Amino acid sequence: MSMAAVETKKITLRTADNHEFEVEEAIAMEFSTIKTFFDENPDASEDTIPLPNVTSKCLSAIIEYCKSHLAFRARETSSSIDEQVRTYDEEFVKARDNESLKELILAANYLNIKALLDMLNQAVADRIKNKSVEYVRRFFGLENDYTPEEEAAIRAENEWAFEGVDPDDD
Amino acid sequence: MEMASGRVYRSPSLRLTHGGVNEEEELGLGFVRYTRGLGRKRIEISNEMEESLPLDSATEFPLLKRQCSERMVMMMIDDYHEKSALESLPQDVLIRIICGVDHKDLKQLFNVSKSIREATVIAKQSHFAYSTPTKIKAFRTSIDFEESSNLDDIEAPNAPKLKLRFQRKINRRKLADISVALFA
Repeated sequence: MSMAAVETKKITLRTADNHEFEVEEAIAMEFSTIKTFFDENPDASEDTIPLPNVTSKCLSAIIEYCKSHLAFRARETSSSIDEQVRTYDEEFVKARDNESLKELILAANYLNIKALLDMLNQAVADRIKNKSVEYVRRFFGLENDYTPEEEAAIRAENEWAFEGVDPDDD
Repeated sequence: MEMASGRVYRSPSLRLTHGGVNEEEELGLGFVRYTRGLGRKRIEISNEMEESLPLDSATEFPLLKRQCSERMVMMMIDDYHEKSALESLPQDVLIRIICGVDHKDLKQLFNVSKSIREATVIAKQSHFAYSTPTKIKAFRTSIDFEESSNLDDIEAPNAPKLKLRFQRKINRRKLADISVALFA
């Protein structure tokens, strides 16, 4: 069959904007959505997989992420590796604006890449921590759908509601 | 012009108007994106664009306007993606994000909008409740079967949630036992 000693299998993915990406099988298997698909359709591995919910911009970032993390995992575990992973993740997120993060989250959610999704969710949580209500609205593209009366009621309710949240009570 | 330049300035990714007219929303989005690189002047340009969509009228920046109009068409197509990304973060994702904020932020989140409030309530419950919130799992497909053991990790990786769970269970049982003994 193959002449080379090791021939890595490639999977072809087609994004929403019609770009085709060829990735190593190991990377495609990081996307649980795709892994499950192949588990259930073992003959489909030669086909191009369409990803109508993922743009090429997102997919290439995601592929980079998975490649890097696979490489990290292949090395011996150590605290210095952990440190490098943390640094890598921080860098991955830092340069991206809020819109890109949201797009990535949607893509990682669709492809079901748990580690990436968790990391991105936490990154977004960090970005909205301690921010004003207005900032959070802008971040998610939301409108204030409360009437002034409702808003006042919520504020009053909060004071009371959060008294009892202390875990030692009850 | 009431399109408070202050407003536009502060919210680069939102509509520029009060109303929820879709057309203007998309324009607003498109505009601000396009004019990101320009200085303060961008605000005025965007406002003018909004008002006179069929770009015939002469304005202070006629050339830019023409460029704007061409790019606007392309932007609107692109923005379809942007807009849907902005507006359609599914609730289960919102919940997970909210699980990552600090407890003191939860209060604030209630005030953001009704949908965020709902997600926050659910997140709060899964932070502190001692039963596994299967509701969240239902949003996923069967893919999650292999991850059921990791469900705890999905919600709040660093919250003292597990301890709480056990503590509560024990306390209630102890109380129940004591009650029985007293009144037996």
